[in-house]
Amino acid sequence: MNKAIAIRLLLPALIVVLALVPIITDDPYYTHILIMICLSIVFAVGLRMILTTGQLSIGHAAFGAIGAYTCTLLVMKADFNFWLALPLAGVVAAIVAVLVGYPTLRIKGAYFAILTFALGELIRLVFVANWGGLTGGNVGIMGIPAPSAIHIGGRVLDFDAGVFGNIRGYYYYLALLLMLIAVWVMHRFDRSRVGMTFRAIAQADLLAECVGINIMRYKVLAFAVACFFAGLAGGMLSSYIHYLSPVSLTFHDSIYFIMFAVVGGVGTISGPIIGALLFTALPEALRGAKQWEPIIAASLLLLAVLFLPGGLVSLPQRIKARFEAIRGKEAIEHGVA
Amino acid sequence: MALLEITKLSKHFGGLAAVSELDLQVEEGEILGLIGPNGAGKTTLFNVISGVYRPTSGKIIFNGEDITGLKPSMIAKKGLVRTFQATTLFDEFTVLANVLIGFHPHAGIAIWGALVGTPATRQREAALVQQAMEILDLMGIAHLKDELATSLPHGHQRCLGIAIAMAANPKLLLLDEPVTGMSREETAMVMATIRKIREQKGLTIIVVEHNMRAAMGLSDRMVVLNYGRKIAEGSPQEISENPEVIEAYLGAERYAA
Ligand SMILES: Nc1ncnc2c1ncn2[C@@H]1O[C@H](COP(=O)(O)OP(=O)(O)OP(=O)(O)O)[C@@H](O)[C@H]1O
Ligand SMILES: [Mg+2]
Repeated sequence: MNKAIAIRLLLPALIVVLALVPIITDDPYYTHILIMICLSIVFAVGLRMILTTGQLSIGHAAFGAIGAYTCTLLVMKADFNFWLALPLAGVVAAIVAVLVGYPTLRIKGAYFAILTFALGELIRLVFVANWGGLTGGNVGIMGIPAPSAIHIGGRVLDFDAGVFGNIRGYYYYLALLLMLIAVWVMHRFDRSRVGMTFRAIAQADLLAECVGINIMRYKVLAFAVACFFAGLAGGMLSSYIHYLSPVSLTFHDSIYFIMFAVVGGVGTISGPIIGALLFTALPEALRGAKQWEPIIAASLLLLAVLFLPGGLVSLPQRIKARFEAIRGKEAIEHGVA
Repeated sequence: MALLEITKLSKHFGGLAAVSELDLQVEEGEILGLIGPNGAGKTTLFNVISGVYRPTSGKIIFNGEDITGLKPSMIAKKGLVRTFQATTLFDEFTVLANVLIGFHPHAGIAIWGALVGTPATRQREAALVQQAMEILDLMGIAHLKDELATSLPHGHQRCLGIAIAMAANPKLLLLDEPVTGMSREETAMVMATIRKIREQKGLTIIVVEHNMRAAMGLSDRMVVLNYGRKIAEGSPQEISENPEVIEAYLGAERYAA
């Protein structure tokens, strides 16, 4: 009860602080890290939602790449307005997820994971193949324009110009907005009967089927929604970096998304958020030791899997339980109990 | 017309005919006891009827509709629900949440409504909690509603398995060894409950039971399987006096010894 009230008060406060960031700092470097954290969270919470249905995707970044290429090609080759191209990027990623999900999500466990890996590689090769000269092959696409300026009530929101003196301010707001929407949607799933059904399927799929649950529909739904947001994040990323190639979002990134979710903890939505925050901020904090980053990341993953099955978010509860156990022991030793 | 009409149903695993040319009719409102030695094909028959396995051949008509080869979820939605011989629950959910999932086919909650959390859905969810508590009460495990399914003792887990199936609102309930591993008192309690369910909800039930005495006490009519074939059918009295049945059971015992 107390916790619920605290969250109710803290959450809006946190959002206000996040909204004020471009005013607090105009440092493009910090702003960049925050943008990357927001986008990482979008990928990580989506990946976790797939995990709640009992399926592991190790090709999640590929859906970011699909979104990135869709958005970029629509803007650059078909003259679409960015604000139309971006949602379409999500829709295309979701459609691919449905088409791929129906035949493959039937398969459980390691096999599905391996299939998503193969799919990711296949998608990368499609972009490398450069059919019709569209994707630029290995070289990729340079000079991707910023999102089109938005005109509201005589004001012009120009992404290139920045806001409050922060040249990346608008990108930051877009990433923040995407992240908040993704987290909110996933949270709604989690709290509803739909999210409960996802978790039921992960625990006992045959029982779920035998009480009338169309488990394929639910698995595909989770997969498609997660990939929709991955597509949005990819679309935004390419227009922010102004560059896109087949190695912009790869298997390596997919593994990181898994790490965000697993190290943070997949039990709650806060897990992947904390994981994404930590893993995106940490390498920056350890910039002197860049070459150690994969080792540090891998070690953290190993430690989390071995000692923290509930992820980082379960840490406070574990510490509390430990303290209570110690106190209980003391009480027994002192003959109080 | 019978509620369930099975004609010439077969299920082969490679060269093994687990169910073979089986004809079976189940009348509305009856409790049919299905018995037979180990490996007779009882569970396989349940798996085929509930859509978990596709039959090799034959036809299954439920409530006037051909359900042969339909997916388990479709069959469950039509009102044919089964429990499992090996205890199968949503382990990490509470007892109450297990039953709430069982309501799925007729929860009447659309995905969008659930996501947005409209007042109508919230009302509906509250009503479902009420109904779930009634089912748990009937099964005698209402006081355990907040326990995790995995933490329950075996007997209560078996009861929860039936409660989940009840939530799916079956017309025909298939119970696969509901009292297996239960103490004598628990067995008596569950048997009484099964009869009560039938009376209260007007259910039709097929129950597989190893314990002959329990099966005889519970069933209106019995069918005996052996090597996938029906070897006898009749009242519990007739079955207990049928020489072929005695032979099948004694034979099995002789084999086991
Ligand atoms: N999936 C399967 N693949 C291959 N053989 C199977 C399969 N399921 C069951 N069988 C075989 O079919 C036969 C019937 O098994 P079934 O489980 O239906 O028997 P049962 O009557 O339920 O036995 P019990 O009383 O031991 O539960 C057995 O010989 C079994 O080994
Ligand atoms: Mg069996």
